Order: sequence, then C-alpha cells, then structure tokens
Amino acid sequence: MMADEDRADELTAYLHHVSVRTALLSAMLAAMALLMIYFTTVGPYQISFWDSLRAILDNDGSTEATIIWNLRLPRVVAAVLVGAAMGVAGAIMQCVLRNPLASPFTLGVSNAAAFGAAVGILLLEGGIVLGQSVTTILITNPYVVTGSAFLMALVAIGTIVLLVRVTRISPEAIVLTGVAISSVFGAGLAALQYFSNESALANIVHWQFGDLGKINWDQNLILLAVLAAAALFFFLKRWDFNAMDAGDEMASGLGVNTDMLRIASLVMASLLTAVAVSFVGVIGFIGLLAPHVIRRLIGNDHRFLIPGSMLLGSLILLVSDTVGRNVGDMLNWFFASGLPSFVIPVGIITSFIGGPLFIYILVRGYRNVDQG
Amino acid sequence: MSIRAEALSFGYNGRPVIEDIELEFHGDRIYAILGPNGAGKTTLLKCLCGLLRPDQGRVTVDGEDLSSLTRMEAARRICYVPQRFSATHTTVFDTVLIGRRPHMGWGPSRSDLELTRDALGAVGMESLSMRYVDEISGGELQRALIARAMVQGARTMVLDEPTSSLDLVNQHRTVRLLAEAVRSRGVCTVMTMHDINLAASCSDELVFMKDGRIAARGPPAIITSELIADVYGIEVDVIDHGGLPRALPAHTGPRAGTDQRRSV
Repeated sequence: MMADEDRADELTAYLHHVSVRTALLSAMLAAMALLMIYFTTVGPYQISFWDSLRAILDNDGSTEATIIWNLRLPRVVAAVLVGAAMGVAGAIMQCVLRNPLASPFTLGVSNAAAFGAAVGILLLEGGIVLGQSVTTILITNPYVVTGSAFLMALVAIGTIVLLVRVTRISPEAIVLTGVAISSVFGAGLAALQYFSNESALANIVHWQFGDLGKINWDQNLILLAVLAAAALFFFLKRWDFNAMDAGDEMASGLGVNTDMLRIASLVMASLLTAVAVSFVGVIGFIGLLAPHVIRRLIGNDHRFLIPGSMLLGSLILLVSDTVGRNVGDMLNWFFASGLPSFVIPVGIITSFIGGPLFIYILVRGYRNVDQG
Repeated sequence: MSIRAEALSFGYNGRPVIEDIELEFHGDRIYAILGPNGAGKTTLLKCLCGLLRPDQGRVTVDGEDLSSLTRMEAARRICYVPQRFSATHTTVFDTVLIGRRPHMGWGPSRSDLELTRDALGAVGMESLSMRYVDEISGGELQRALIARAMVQGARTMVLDEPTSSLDLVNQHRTVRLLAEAVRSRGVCTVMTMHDINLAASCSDELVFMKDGRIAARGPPAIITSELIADVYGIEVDVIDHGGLPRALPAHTGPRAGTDQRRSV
C-alpha cells in the first residue's frame, strides 16, 4: 500500500513538473498580451491604457484608433511575430544541428536572406525606392522579395548541412562557417550597394540593421501565416525533437526519420528567417538568446522549449523595439536633458543586449561544464 | 519471437565490414556478441535493428522482412540502445518516457506515464525521476536507458556495449536488470560486449566475431584458450569457476611471473 502511494507520488511529481511549465508559459503569454496593449500607448501622442484597449477592440475611426491601427499596432504585432519566428528558428536549428551556437544570425542565414531580399527589391523589381530619404523602400511584390530571400537562405543552410554531413565539422567550426557565409553575402550586399544609386544605398544600409517601422498589415499577415504553419509543424514534431536530443541513432531507434526531419525543419526555419528578414531586415541574437534562456529556465523538453522560445523572442523584441523608438524621450526623462527625440533601429538594440548576454551565457555554461 | 540474419553483408565505401552473417535469435534468451575492435559487432547490431540497410542478405523479424516495415513499425518490434547517448537538460522521467514515442499519438497517454513510472521503479530510479540526466552518474544513466528500452515495449532489445563505460558494480547491476527483463517480459536481448567473463556469466549464448564473420557461437562452454587465441590473437588461460569458464590473461607484461592474479 505504501509502495503504491510512493509510486503515485512520482506520477504526481511529474504532472506537477509539467503544470509548472505550462503555468510559466501561460504567464509569459499574459505578460506579452499586456505589454502589447501597453506599448501601443507609448509614443509622442499620449493615449491611456484603457483608451488603447478600447481602440484595439473597436477601430471607430477616432484619432487614437487611427494612430494605433495604422502606426503602433502593426509595429507591435510585427515585434511579436518576428521575435517568435527568430526564437523558434533558433531553438530548432540548435536541436537538429546539435549545436548550441546555431541560430539564423550566427549561421549566416539572416544575411543570406537579406542579400536575397535586396536582389528581389533592386534587381527583380519586387520593390521600389521612394525619394531621397533614408527610410523608404516599398516592397511592391512581397512574394518575389521573400522568395528571393528564401532561395538565398536555403543556399546558406544547404551549405551548412552539406558541410556537416560530408566533413562532420565541430559545432564551433559550423559557426565559423556561418561567419564566412555572412561575409560572402555581406559582400554581395555591398556589391549591390556599390552599383546602386545613393538613396537605394542608404536604404539598404539602414535595412541591414533591422527595423520594424516599415512593416504593414499585409506583410504581418504573410508573416503570421508562415509562422503559424512552421510553429504547427515544429509543435507536431516536438517528441521527435526530444528524441533527436539524445542523438541520431537513439532517435532512429525510436522510429524517427532523422534525415527527413532535419531537412524539413531547416527548410522551415530558413523560410521563417527569409520572410522576417524580407520585411524588417536583419535582427540578430533573438534566435540565440530566447532558446538559451528558456532552456535554463525549464529544460530541453521541446513541448515547452518551442512555445517558450517563441514567447520569449516576442517579449525581447517587443521591449527592445519600444526602447528603440523611445530612446530619446527615455534619456531626456532619465537625465533631465533636452535632447531631440530620436529612434534607434531595433536590430542595434538587440545586438547591444544580445552580444554581451550571450557571452555571459557561454562563459557560465562552460564554467558549469568545467565544474561538472 | 525470433530475429534472423540471412546471408547478411554490409560495407562502408565499398570496404566490407560484415560478410555473409547467418544468425538467429529467439525470445527469452540473452545473446552476447563478442570480438575485437573493428570486428563488425556494432555494424551487425545496426543492421539487425534496421538502422543500416544491408548490401546483401536480409533481416527478418518473426519471418517478416525488416526492410518492408516502416521505421516506426520497426521501432515497435526492435529497441536499439546505442553506445553513445547525449545527456541533455531533460528529466530522467522524460528521458524514459520518450521510449513510448513509437506508440504515441498526439502525446503521452496516462498509460504511457504509468508504464514509465513502473519502469523507473523496476530499475530502482524512482527517487531520481525528476533529476536532470546531465546531472546523474553514468551508471544511473545506463539504468535510465534500460528503463527506456523497457517502456518501448519491443520484443527484441539490441544494446551496443551497455556495460563498457560502467564500474564493476554498475556492470553487474546492468546485466542483472537485463536478465530480469528477459525473465519477466520474455524479450530477446542481443548485446555487444567486451568483457568475456561478464558475457559468459549473463548470457545464454555467445557469438564471437572476427574480421566481419562469425568465428564461433554457442553456450558459454565454447570459450577455450584456442578460441580466444584465434579471435583476439592473445594467450589466455581458461579456468572453470562455478561451472562457468573464466578467461584469464596468460603471463604477459612487466609483472609476468610475479603476481598473475593482479594482472587479471
């Protein structure tokens, strides 16, 4: 009788373990929803939280509703979608390549997609450059631009997969290969800049840093559709990813077709990267940061790692973008200075936060290994 | 329950690793495959569980060609425990539960969870079920992997050197667990091993491999100094120990002639 109770306790402990993680993800989801509403209140035109919520629920044509639906909400939604896309793409790449340093940014997939998108805009007539200002590339045909970006992203990830399969290179060497791939596509982008006119050049430079300011509802919808399809695929395969964590042989022994899963997952992750980069430019480190932090919080179980990386990626990008577009006002408030308002592209903010934090995670990780 | 290799041959890049293997394994028995490094033991195991497709010959499971089964169907019949396992930041419970993958639909059912709990109990790891596998010892990890193999529910377990990285206590604990699994569940267990004496004490039948071929097979009594000399190319003394043969290295090395027992 006592033994039966003990064994029931093990099951209870496991179910508790699962429910704690589910609760954490639910809390993150709730925090994200609240922040989404709150960040639509932040900006030069003051809107209260409740007015914002009312305008989101009822687009009645008022000034508040117009500002929120036309300017702020597309940007906030883009932050959530792009952050989720980068977060989940990083988590999946790290799993199927068995490389903790893998992400769209570190493997050069983001830069490849950026080059592809630039080719789509400038050479394949997928977009037009407006005026002489530095902020206006208009994507007229998102399918040409994202298709071209996807093609180049596939070239980058295909190179990585080929090298992994043929030479069995180390995880560190894979990342160095990513640096090389980034350089090659960076050079391609530089060549495009060299042969472009001045305004196009300025736009490409600006766009390389990643900026959510130019996205519109149509692009958000495309991003949402691709993200939903990819997330559904990844979530359906969550147990297969868990099996792959233990190694290819173990996963194959459990009935997982590891080669097919690896290729399908990397194609999906590349598609996510390509679409996100096409619309908002290169935003680095989210794909590294989000999965690493979630792993430390709740472990490697992909049931939680996949949604967790998406949610944390969204939260990081949401906060970073709001900080970026209000950084002048924040500095003025903090230092009581009289600086003019200015914005910083979110890609710069994520690199400022992500670079040092990632080094910290790496150092902490290696120290743990040494002590272990 | 039987698994049969018929005229099995496999090679890497045109270099043959196993050639013309004819073997049959039955339920309720433990088979140990022995032989020097590079003899083709692991390759044979991978062919037996469908991870490698043989160049010639075939593997049948209860008379059915293994290559005609999907990977998932094969996983329901044959469980493979590789030598290398990457311990990640996952709980012991989840590590065992993933063994139910070939039977899962959308996710684990209540009975999958109960089977996992029972298997953890069978290998004496109840108290460690919520620990992370990257924080437990090698012996505990091996027990978790045996529990995982149990929950997979296959009638054949194929294990690649399950005792090679374990200390003496955990080696014996592992083979005892396997023996219990065979007795209680009637599964056929095929494993590669390096320790001839351990294999002789826990197996019903031994298969010696040399240069990709079967050198000898039979009960532990087939171990003789001539056989070991033929397969491994070293001199050993084979003595009787409680009815089982024990292979002891002959007088070699710097301590030869001073204390033979210490060199064993």
